[in-house]
Amino acid sequence: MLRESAAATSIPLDARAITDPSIDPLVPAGRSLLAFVDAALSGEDLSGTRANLAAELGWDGTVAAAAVIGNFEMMNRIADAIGMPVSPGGLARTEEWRALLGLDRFRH
Amino acid sequence: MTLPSQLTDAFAEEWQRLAKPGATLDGAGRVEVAVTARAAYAGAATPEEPVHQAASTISASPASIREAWVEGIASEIGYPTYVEVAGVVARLTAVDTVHRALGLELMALPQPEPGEPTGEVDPDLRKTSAWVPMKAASVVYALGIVPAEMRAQEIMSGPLYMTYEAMDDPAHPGVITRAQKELVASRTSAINECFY
Repeated sequence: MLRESAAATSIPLDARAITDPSIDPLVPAGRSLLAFVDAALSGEDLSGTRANLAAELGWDGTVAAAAVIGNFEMMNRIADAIGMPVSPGGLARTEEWRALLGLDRFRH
Repeated sequence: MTLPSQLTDAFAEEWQRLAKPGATLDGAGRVEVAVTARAAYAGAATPEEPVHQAASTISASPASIREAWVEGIASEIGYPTYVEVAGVVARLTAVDTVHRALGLELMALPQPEPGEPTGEVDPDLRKTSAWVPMKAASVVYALGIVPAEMRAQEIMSGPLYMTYEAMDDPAHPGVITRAQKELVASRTSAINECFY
């Protein structure tokens, strides 16, 4: 979905940033968003990264980002718990990105 | 700093669902599952009792789950109960994650409501490519053997992320852009070592 949304909105994107923190994702506030996710899931203090994100996106944007993290914490657990299969068509469509991001190391 | 009403309303509604009898667990059983899930997230040891073993593992180490383990748990508690536990734990995790990420106190768990489990399960579903009986190979239908859990998942996704209908629009507007949302979603899944 990231690939489709970036294309549909003409937003530049370097998807390698999803798995390589040294790369700028090019999405507006992208570095701050990635840092916020990392901090939120690390269990450590995230007041600094949250303040940095709020400085770029405001409190409402920070809440929206936190909500997306919450949603995918939910969806990932459901997928893992029930052994969500990936269809052959889905594997074919994502072949290039799976290779780019190294996603095949995850069970699917 | 406060949460917008669309989130506080959604979380309040989820707490009501948590406290009420589900398909196979009564209200007390569902709240006990939530207690176990929070304890596991905080580092507590995995309990031996199958329902709570499931709650603990789905909460704290979901990427470790394998088909043989699911079959073992399901052989003791049944697939519907396992799926109900997965739904309760997954949505609790969503609510707690938002609060932790924003530096807010976790919501106190609700008092269980009386009543017997509803027994509402889909008896016609069979295991195919997933580890539990499912209607179709889509995460939208993942909890379909317990229709109330499948509905609750959809209800929660709307205010947290976007409605299922909006997912078809890659330029769907919001407080943050769709590309920003997907960046956050992709990074979250990568950290969780989840293919999705």
